[in-house]
Parts: sequence; C-alpha cells; structure tokens
Amino acid sequence: MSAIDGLLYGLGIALSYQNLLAAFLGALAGTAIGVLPGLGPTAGIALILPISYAFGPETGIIMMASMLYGAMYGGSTTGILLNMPGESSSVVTCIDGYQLTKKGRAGAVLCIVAAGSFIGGTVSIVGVTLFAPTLAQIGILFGPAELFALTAGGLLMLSRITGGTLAAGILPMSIGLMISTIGQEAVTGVNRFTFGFNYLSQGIDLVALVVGLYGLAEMMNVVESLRAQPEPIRVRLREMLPNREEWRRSWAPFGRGTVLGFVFGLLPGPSSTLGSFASYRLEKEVSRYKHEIGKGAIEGVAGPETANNAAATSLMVPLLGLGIPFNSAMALMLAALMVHGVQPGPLLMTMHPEVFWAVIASMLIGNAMLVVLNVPLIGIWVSLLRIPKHVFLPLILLLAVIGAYSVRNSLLDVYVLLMLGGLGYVLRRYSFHLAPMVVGAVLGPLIEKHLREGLYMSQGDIAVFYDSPIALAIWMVVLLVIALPGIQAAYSRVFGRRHIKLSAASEE
Amino acid sequence: MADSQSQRWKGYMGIGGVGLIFAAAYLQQSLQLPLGRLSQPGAAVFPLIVGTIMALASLLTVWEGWRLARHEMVEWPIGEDRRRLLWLIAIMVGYVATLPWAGQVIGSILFCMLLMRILSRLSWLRIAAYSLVLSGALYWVFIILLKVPMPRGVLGF
Repeated sequence: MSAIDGLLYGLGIALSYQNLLAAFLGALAGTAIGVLPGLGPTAGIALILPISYAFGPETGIIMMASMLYGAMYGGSTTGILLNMPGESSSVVTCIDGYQLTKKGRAGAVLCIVAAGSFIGGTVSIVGVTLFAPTLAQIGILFGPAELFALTAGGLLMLSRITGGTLAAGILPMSIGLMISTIGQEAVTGVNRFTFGFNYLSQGIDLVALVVGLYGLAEMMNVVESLRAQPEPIRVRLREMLPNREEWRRSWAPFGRGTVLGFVFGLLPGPSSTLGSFASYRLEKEVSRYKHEIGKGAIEGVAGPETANNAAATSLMVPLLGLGIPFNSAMALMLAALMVHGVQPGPLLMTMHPEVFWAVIASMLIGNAMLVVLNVPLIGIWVSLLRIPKHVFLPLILLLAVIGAYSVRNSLLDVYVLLMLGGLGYVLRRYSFHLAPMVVGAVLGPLIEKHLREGLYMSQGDIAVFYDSPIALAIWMVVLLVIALPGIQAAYSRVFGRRHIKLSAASEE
Repeated sequence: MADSQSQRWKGYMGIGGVGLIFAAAYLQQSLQLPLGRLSQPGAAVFPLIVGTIMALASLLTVWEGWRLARHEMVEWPIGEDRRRLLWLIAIMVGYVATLPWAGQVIGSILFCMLLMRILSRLSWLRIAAYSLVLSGALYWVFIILLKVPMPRGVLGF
C-alpha cells in the first residue's frame, strides 16, 4: 500500500462517526485539561485509558492523541493570557505571549498559535507518513536481541536525556521496572511480589500509577501554593484576526518550528518542551526581529508553539515504527494498544494496517478539529479559567479516585493511587523525573520478554545481545548518550583549565 | 507565604538509603523465585537484574547526594500552605478509608464539603449546595450513565 493509498484508507476509517466523536471529545477534554491547572495531559490520558478499552484500538488511540494535542494548545492559552503555562512546553510561549497580551494583541496571538499548531502538526504528519514505514522496514530486521537493545537502551537513554543528575532519571526508571515485575509472570505463571494478595497477581494498574504520580502529586502542589489567580482578559472573536504584519512575520518561524519540532519528536525525552525551547533559541539567533524577542515579538510565540505541536506529532514515529514510547503519554498509548492485542512496532503496518493508517489520518482530523474548536470557542476556554479552584479541585480529585477504581473495581488501586501521589510529590520536590518511571513500568514486561526470547534462542549465550551489528550499534549510541555529559565535563575541566592557564600566561 | 528549606543533599541521601533498603528486600524476595537455567530463564532472572539496577541507582543517589553542594536547598511549604496540604492529605485518606462503608455518594459529598471548606471562605450552606451538585453530577455520569460499580456503602448508594 502506497502512502497516499494508506492515508485514504485511514481517512475512511477515521471519518466514521465513532472516530470523529472520539477525536472531538479527546480534543475538547484535552484543551480543558491544558487550560485548567493540575491534571496535565499524561494524567488526563491515563483517566480515559479505561474508557478506551471499551472501543476498538484505533478509536481509543485517536481519542488519546487528540487529547494530547488539545492539552498542548490549552496549555498555551493560559500561558498567553495569564502568564501561567498550563504545560511545560508552553513555558517559553509565556515570555512573548504575555507581553503581547499586555499590548492588547491576545486574540491575534491565540490565532497565530492555532495556525502554527495546525501547520506544525500537519506537516509533521506528512513526515510521520513517510518516516514511520521506512523505520518499520528497518525494524523488520530486528530479532529479540535487537529489540532488547532497543527497549532497554531506549529506556536508559530516556532516563539520561530527561535532564538533571544521572540518579534523577535512573532511580525512577528502576522503580518503574520494579513495579512492572509485580504480578503473575507471563511465561511460567509464577506470582511475583504479591505477598499472598491474589489481587496483586494482575500487577499494578497503569491508571492508578500515572494518575497518582502526575495528577495527585500535581494537585498537592496546586493546593499547597493556592494563590489568587489574576482575572483573565475577555477575548472577543472579532479581536482574533492577526494583522498583515503579524502574519508576515510568522511564516518563517512556522517553517523553522516545524522542522525543529519534527526532529525533536524523534528523540527520547520531553520532546515538545525541548522543541519549543530550541525553537525560541533559534528565533533569538536568526530572526530579523531578534532584538524584539522577549519584549513581545510574534516570532517568540509562533516558532515555539509550532515546534511543540510538530514534536507531539512526530513522537508517533518511534511508537508506531518501533513500538518504543519516548515519553509517558506515548507509553500509555502503547499500553492501550497492547490491551487490544495490537503490538506497535515493525509489523504494525502489515498486521494492523487499519490501526496504523487510522491513527495517521486521525492526526490530520484532530489538528483541524483543534483549530475549529479553539479559535471560535476561545471565549469558553477563557471562561474555564474563571472557575474557582475550590470547585474544580474536588471535582478532579474525585475523578482521579473514580478513574483508578473503575478499571478493576478495586480499592487496592485507590490505595496505590494515594501512595504514588505521595511518592511523586516527594520525588518532584527533589527534581527526580517521573517519565522514566512510567515508561519503565510499561516497557518492563517487553524488556523481560525480549531478554528471555534472546536467551532461549541462543541457548543461554549472553553474547547474542551484542553480537549483531544492529544491537551493537544501538548499545554504542546508548553508551555515548549516557557518557556524553561526563565526557563534556571532563573535556571542559581539562581544556578549560588549560585555556585559563594559557590566558593567564599570555596576560603575564 | 515563605517556604521552609531543607538541604538537598540530605534528601538525596535519604531517598538513596530508602532505595537501598527496598532493593535489598526486593532482591531477597527475588531469590525465593525459580531461577531456571541461562538457556531457560526462570521467573527470578529479570527481577534479579532489576533489583541489582535498583541497588546501583540507590548507591548512585547516595553518592550524588554526598557530592551535592551543601548550600543547595529544597523548599517545603510552611504555615497556611502546609496546613492546607496536610488537610488535603488527611481528607483524601479519610475519604478512601471510609469509602467501603460510606459509599461513593455520601463519601464524595463529605469529601467535597471538607475540601471546599479548606480551600475557600464560603459559607457552609453554599459549600453544601456546591458539594451536592458536584457529587450528584458525578453519580449521574459514572454510576447511572457509565455503570461504574463504585462502592455503595451501608446505605446502599
């Protein structure tokens, strides 16, 4: 099937009433989650995980992907109007976005953001359409050893690239892997770490884990730092149109942001956030109006917002092409597909073309839906910001409890939710990253499966895991990524000192 | 409200120490599982690897804590902020603990009322009204519409 045929086939599936409704509801809920502080896209996606089980895999993932894009856009709205980023990827948008709001250009900025998000997302979809099948073709060459290198190495890379100290990523990753081993072991059926509780044989539920770590921990932060929120300005529809100058100055940042965001989406880590920061830096370097950036320049909004949406889309390439999630939201999508017996990866296009192409097509529809939802309905989204915290905080906390309970009708999952909420709060205080924990919990069973298959097939020869050129190449890249900060530090220690000595000598 | 501070290195050492204890207990439990052979690995193999990684990660955390600058601080809430946070934790724990016998409806009404009282200066009457509306809406959506079998409690709802 050619890319065009595949896309048409996918559009045929994605344009069904059920899938359109899923995209609409996902984008709607995602935007609300992005606008309101507290829940965030990852916890939001986790909450709809049980709902997604009731539908087909394509419907579930369409809803989740739309929610992710919606949250990206919604997060920017609060950043621009209130100088309060809803998501980490909107942090840089606040700088110029809020300055422009103070100059009375809020409506125009929101329209530019919608246009940039649409362009970034749509062009990125073309990239995904071309790139994911190519990656899948390479992926067909992968056996258990290569897949082990990819999953275990990818997880290690993710925990290193998320930033901070080495322990800040590796320790949560280890906790996630430990969590993944709780329950009945898949091959021999032995119960592990269940301590006699039959209930634990099903393992720790992902919804309780993610909503606890992200949702509950964030709620604790919101309650702790409860402050009077500034009143958002009223944005009217007729104020939404940017002027000709604003459009003219936005096209180049749209283009640069799209390319940069797409590339960042292919890398492990918080791609959307890194993409938006990199785009801001790039605009500060190359824009004709760089002297205005930071004081209210449209380039400082158009570039980063385009980049974060392009990255959110291209994040699908490693998930669909290789079956590797590069962040927590993608890990949840992987889990949702696996519940339906669909294993993302090299064989997805041949085994489940309907899922692959429906997801690609739904991204197009989801992007268009976001523009339709966000530009005319901006007044409604702004009014959400006026809901007092004492009303929506109890509502979201109750939703979290109901969401955790509803998956298996078990109070144990609610207890897990509370415990992980506390753990997430403490770990975040000390700047530990939570994404490696979630991805570790999802990838743990896959890593174990590839490890066992490799050992079976090689009759216990450990060399199988580094013998093949592909596995060896993957491990080399992983080692390089892990060691790079250390190498850089050593380099700057040695050559930095030498440089200082040389400059001191020349001064003498 | 100003925040109280604690030294980051102490936190790292504490987290690393707790991690080490967990890793030791986890490894001890893993050794009770069937090990198998390398050509036919048993259920213990992967947990043993994971436990070792956890132990190493915990040691790394302790080591990083030891090397952290002593002036690096982590901020914790104090005063009114801390009181609100502790109340939230207490109300959440109370709600979850009483859920099996109070049931979803009564439990969520009480949860909303108490939390709203902590978060706002509204009168009890308005708090009760808001709580009834919120809990009623959730009951209608999840229990009536989506048929989620939430705990019904001693009163049967």
